[in-house]
Amino acid sequence: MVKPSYLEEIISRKVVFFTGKGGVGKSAIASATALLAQRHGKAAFLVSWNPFDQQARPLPYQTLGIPHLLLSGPDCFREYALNILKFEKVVNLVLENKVVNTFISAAPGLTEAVIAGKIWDLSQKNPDAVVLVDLPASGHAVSFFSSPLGLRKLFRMGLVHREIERICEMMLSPSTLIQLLSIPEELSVSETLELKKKLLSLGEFNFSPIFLNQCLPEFPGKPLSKENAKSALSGKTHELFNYYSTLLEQESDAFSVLQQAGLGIRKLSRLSCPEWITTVEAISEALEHS
Amino acid sequence: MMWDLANKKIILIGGPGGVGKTTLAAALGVSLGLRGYRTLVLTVDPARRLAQALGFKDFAYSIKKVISQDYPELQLTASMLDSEHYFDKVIERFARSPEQKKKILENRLYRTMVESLGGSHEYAAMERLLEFVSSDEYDKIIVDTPPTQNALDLLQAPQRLANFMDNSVLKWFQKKGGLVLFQRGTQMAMKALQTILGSEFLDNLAAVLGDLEGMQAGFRSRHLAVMELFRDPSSAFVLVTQASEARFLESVEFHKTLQKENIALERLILNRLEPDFQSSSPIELEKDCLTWFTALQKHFEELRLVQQKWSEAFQAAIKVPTIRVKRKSTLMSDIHALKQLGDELIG
Repeated sequence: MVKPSYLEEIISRKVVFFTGKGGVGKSAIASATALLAQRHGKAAFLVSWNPFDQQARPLPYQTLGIPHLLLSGPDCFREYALNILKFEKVVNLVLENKVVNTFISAAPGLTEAVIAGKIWDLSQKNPDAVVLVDLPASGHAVSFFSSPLGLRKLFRMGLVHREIERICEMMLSPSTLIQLLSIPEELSVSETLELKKKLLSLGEFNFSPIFLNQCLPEFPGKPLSKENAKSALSGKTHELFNYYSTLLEQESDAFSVLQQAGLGIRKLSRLSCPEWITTVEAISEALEHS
Repeated sequence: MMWDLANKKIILIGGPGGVGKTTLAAALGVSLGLRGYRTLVLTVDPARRLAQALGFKDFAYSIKKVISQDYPELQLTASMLDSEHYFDKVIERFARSPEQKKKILENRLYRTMVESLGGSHEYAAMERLLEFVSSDEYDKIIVDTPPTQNALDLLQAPQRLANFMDNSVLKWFQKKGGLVLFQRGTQMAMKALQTILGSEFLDNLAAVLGDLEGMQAGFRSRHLAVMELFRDPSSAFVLVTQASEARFLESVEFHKTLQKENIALERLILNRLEPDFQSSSPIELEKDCLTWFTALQKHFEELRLVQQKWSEAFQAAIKVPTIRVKRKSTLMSDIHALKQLGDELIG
C-alpha cells in the first residue's frame, strides 16, 4: 500500500492539532499547511490560543492570506454562556461579577473544554474546511486533551455532560488528526515520544507521521567522505565539515530513535530564510512533496 | 567579558521552551561547583543524557551529589523535581489537619484540578526553591525554570493558586443555600452560572474548594516570599533565548514583564548561534564534491547571517549585558563538556 501524501492526509480531515516541544516550528508548519491546503482548493482556518490569555505574538497571517482565529478562554466562555442564557445582558451580569470570575478561572478544565467546544463549532459551521489548531507546547497540550476526557468521567449527565461528550467525540473522531513535531535533538525527540505515550493513555487518537523539522538539507553534488575531507580541507573549512558531520550523526540518532518507537517520519529541512513569512512559504513548497 | 557572580546566591534561568535552558543551568552548576562554591542545580524533568552526564543512572527523582572522577573537587548537587508528586507535599504542608489533608488527596477532582490548573509545575519549582534558600546549605542555587510562555506564569503561580481559593468564593460554598449573605448581583450571577455549568459541576467543585479552606493564606505568603526573593540583589534572573524572529517578540515580552514586576534582568543569553566558518583558503576538490561543499558552506553562512541580524535586534530591544553562546556540535554528555560551556558563560 502506498503511504498517503501529507496533502492527502490533511485535506481528508476536519481538524488537525499541531503539537510538540517549544521551538520546533509548530506555528510555521501549521501556517504552511494552511497555504498548502488553500493551493489545492481546500479552505483552511488556523486557530491558536494561549493558555494564560496573554496576547499571543501577532504573526503575519494576514500577509500570508490565512484566515486566523486567536481564541481566549474568557471569549469562548462568553460565547458558550450566551448560547445557553440567550441574553447578552444576563451573560454580562454573570461575567462581570468578581466572585463568578474567580470561580470560572478556577474551575478545572473549563477553559480547555470551552476552547475545544469552539473549535468543534468552527468545524461544524465550515464542513468543507479543515481547521488547523496551533496548540501550546507539549505540557499544555496534554491538559488540553486530558481535561475534557477527565471531565467526562466525572459528569455522567446534564448539560456539561452533553457538551463534554460532544468534545470527546470530536477529539477521537477519525476526521481529527494529531500532528506531532520534533527537531533532530535528543531532548525534543524524547519529549515528543513522551507526549505521544501520554496522549495514547488518554484515548485512541489518530496520529499522522511525525515531522522531523530542521534537518540538514540535501546539498547538490557529491557528498564528501570523511577521508576525503581530511586530506582536502584544513582549518576553518575542516572545522565546518566536522561540525556538519556531528549534526548529521545527531540527526540519524534522532531518526532511528523515532523509527524504533514505531513512528512514521517525514523530514523537513532547516531553512535559512531571513523572514518568518518566507520561511512559511518555503515550508509549504516542501510539503507538496511530503 | 567576565560575569561576576560572587555576590549572587540564586541564579534563575528562564526563557521559552527548547532554547537550551537545562543544559546551560547544568553547565553553570559545574563551573561554579568547581570554583569552590557549594552549588545546587534545581531542575525539572531533564533530558536523559544530561541526567547521565550529571551521574544519574536511573530516572528516580531525587536530590543527589554529582560525583566526577575527573573532578574530585566538584561541589555540585542536583535536584530533580517531580512536580506532580511534589504538589501533594505542598497540600500536606498547608493542610491544617490530617483530616483535611486526607480529604483533599482523596478527592477525585483534585488530581484533574492540579493537572489542569496550569502553573503547578511552576509552583512546585518555586516552593522547592524557598525550601533550599532557607536551609543555607548552598552558596549558589541555579534554578532551571520550567518553560513558560510568559515570565508571569512563573512569578505568579503561587498567587494564582491563592486566587483560586479566594475567600469570597469559598464562603459561597460553605453557606450553600445561604445565598442571602451575598449581594443580589452575585446571587443572580451565581444562579446563572449554575444554569450554564449544571449543579453537579458546581457541587463537585464546591467539595474541593471547601476542603481547601484556610490554605489560601499559605499560598499568598509564598507568593510574596517568591517575589521578594526575585527582587533581592543577591538573585540574578537570566533570560535564555535564540536569535530568531520566532523568539523575538516572546523574549521582549518576557523582559517587559520582569520590568513591570521590578525584577532586574542580569543577563541575556543568545544561545546556539551558528559559528563563523568563513575562510579564504582555497579548496581543492573534484567538481561534484566542490559543488556539494560550496552549498554546505553557503547554507551555514546564511543561517549565521540571519541570526546575526536578529541578535542585533535583540540587543537593541533588551538592553542588558549579553552573552553569546555558539551552537555546539558536540553533545553535552559529560562533566568536562559542561565545564567548558559553563566557563564560556562566566568567563
